Amino acid sequence: MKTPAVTTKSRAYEKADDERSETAAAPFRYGPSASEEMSEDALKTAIILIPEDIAGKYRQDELEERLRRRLGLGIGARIVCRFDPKADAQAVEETLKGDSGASENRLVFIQEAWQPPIQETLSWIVSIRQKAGVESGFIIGLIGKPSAETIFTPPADTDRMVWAHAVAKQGDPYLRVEVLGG
Amino acid sequence: MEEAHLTDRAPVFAILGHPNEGKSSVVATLAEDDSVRISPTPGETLKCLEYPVSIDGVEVIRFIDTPGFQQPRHSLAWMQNFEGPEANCISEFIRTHQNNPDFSHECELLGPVADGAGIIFVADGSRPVRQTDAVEMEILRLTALPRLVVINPKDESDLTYLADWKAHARKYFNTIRIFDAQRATYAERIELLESLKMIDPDWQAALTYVIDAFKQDWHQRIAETANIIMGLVETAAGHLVKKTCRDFSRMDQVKRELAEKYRADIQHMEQAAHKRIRKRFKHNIFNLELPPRSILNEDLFSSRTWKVLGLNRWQLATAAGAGGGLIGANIDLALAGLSFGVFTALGGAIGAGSAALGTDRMARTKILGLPVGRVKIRVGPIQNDQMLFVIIDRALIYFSHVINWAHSRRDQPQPPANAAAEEKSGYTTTWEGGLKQAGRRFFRAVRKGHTQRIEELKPRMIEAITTQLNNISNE
Repeated sequence: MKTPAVTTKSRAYEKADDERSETAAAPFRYGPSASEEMSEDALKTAIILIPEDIAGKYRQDELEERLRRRLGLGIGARIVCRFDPKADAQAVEETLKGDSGASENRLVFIQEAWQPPIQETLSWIVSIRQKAGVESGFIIGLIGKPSAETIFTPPADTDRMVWAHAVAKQGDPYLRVEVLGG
Repeated sequence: MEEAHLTDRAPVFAILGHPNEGKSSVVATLAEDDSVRISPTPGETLKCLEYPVSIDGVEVIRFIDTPGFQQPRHSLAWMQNFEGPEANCISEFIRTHQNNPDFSHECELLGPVADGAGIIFVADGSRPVRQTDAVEMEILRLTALPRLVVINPKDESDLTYLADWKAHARKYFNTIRIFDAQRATYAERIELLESLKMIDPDWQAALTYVIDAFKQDWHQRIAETANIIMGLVETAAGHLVKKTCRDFSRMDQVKRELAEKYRADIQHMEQAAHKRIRKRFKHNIFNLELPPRSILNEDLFSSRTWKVLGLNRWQLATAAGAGGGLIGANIDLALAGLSFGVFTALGGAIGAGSAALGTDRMARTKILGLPVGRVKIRVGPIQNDQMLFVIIDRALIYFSHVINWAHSRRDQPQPPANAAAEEKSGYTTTWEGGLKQAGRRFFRAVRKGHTQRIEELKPRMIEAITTQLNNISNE
């Protein structure tokens, strides 16, 4: 899995799909290709890992919208994480065994970028990755500091770079950072 | 760290917290040490670094900057399962994990805690409280050591989460301080040290000594600053430059050169004095950046400096007019190479007219005729008393910037709340009439080189400047 590049296609899609200034002003896009967004059925789904700190502090439709537009993904299942590697990994395993609806063992972890990537978080990610399978895709979806209206605010550039650097150091081709807020 | 290391000497405080919360900034400000490494990238502090504060060569307090927590949940889980004596929990944790690289940060940061250091937990109050924070605070609660939380809002414009932080911190700490490490003043620094006294009665005596020592040290610095300012005034007031001119056709050129030299000399004196003030307040590494609109960015001789700190044109005219009467038969020239064609002649009225032409005429340029066809040209000393008040005002403003520039600061400061007032007038404009009169007498004595009179008048001037410095410190 490689990081999708910024393409003319995705920009065209933005204009056609949604004219809101919020999305038009976004610095870059990780949207699906035109063929992917044509049908909801074609949308790949993922297991969404949500830290307990922000669980219940967002609107479901906003999360769906963000995932679809930024990552081209639908929600297969949601897991509230307490950063207990065993318990969380088990929850992931059970979800995958069941009918999660997630395609290709794809996981998206929503992370507040201003929280630095401490070893504990990185180890937790590794443990989840192991449980999901070595070739499962794992996306760290960065968001910024919550505002009164939404948790999906843009992360600071410095924070995004810190996370990108920390993830690059892992040397895991199936692990990547994307911007989900903003 | 050896146990005796911490118990035999001055109070020791370990600064702990999550990565990138401003721990190093708090240390830099508390220890007044601008050499503390402060990085915007989290996790850069890997080892504990000690910052001792000494007064007269004796260490009175020590702060230890520590790495941020990396494994808080795992560490807490281990501690909660620890079955030995509570007092041994931290040292046993270190012993158990010291060879595990995953816990290298925790072992390092808990080292001073195991040795009995007081705990200052630093949290960024401009972001939300998260479970990890609660976990870290719980770890510190389990140490049962004296502890205080410093809520350091890194983003001063966002205080949304401050109340939430306070509510959470109260569960784990009995003393909470809001301390903006990048903008803390001297008074706020002392207040934080006072708070440390509260967290353990055993430290009260030692910390009282430390605070008294800090206050004495501060008063000493104020006294030294007052002397530096007085020294500047004395040197500037009496300064003159002179040159003999044999070629009359070059006289204007020589006058211009002398005026430039005179101006450069005075500016150099001012810069040197400011540098000495800065050093008194231990700003040694990073350049103190002045707010963009500060009057200190203006040339001492600029019209804006005079508009802001000096008299207005009418007052200038009156002041110089008074001086003009004393000028007598001297031929005065305008200063600074701007309008050398303008001469003043005798009497107060013409002196006043000259002053009203601009703010550049502060010093006297004398042309002294010599019998053998040569002319000796002299610039200085300063004739306008207001020039000396302006020099004092600029030094006081510089002082206010120096003391409010926290040692953790690496960026451009925002203008202080009273910046507008500063822009309107200098501190000395608030001096009462008698004091200003004493100032003028002092300046006159310096100009004339009346040593005895200078010594008589100096104490009052020093007292006035010291009072002003103290007032600025407590603002």
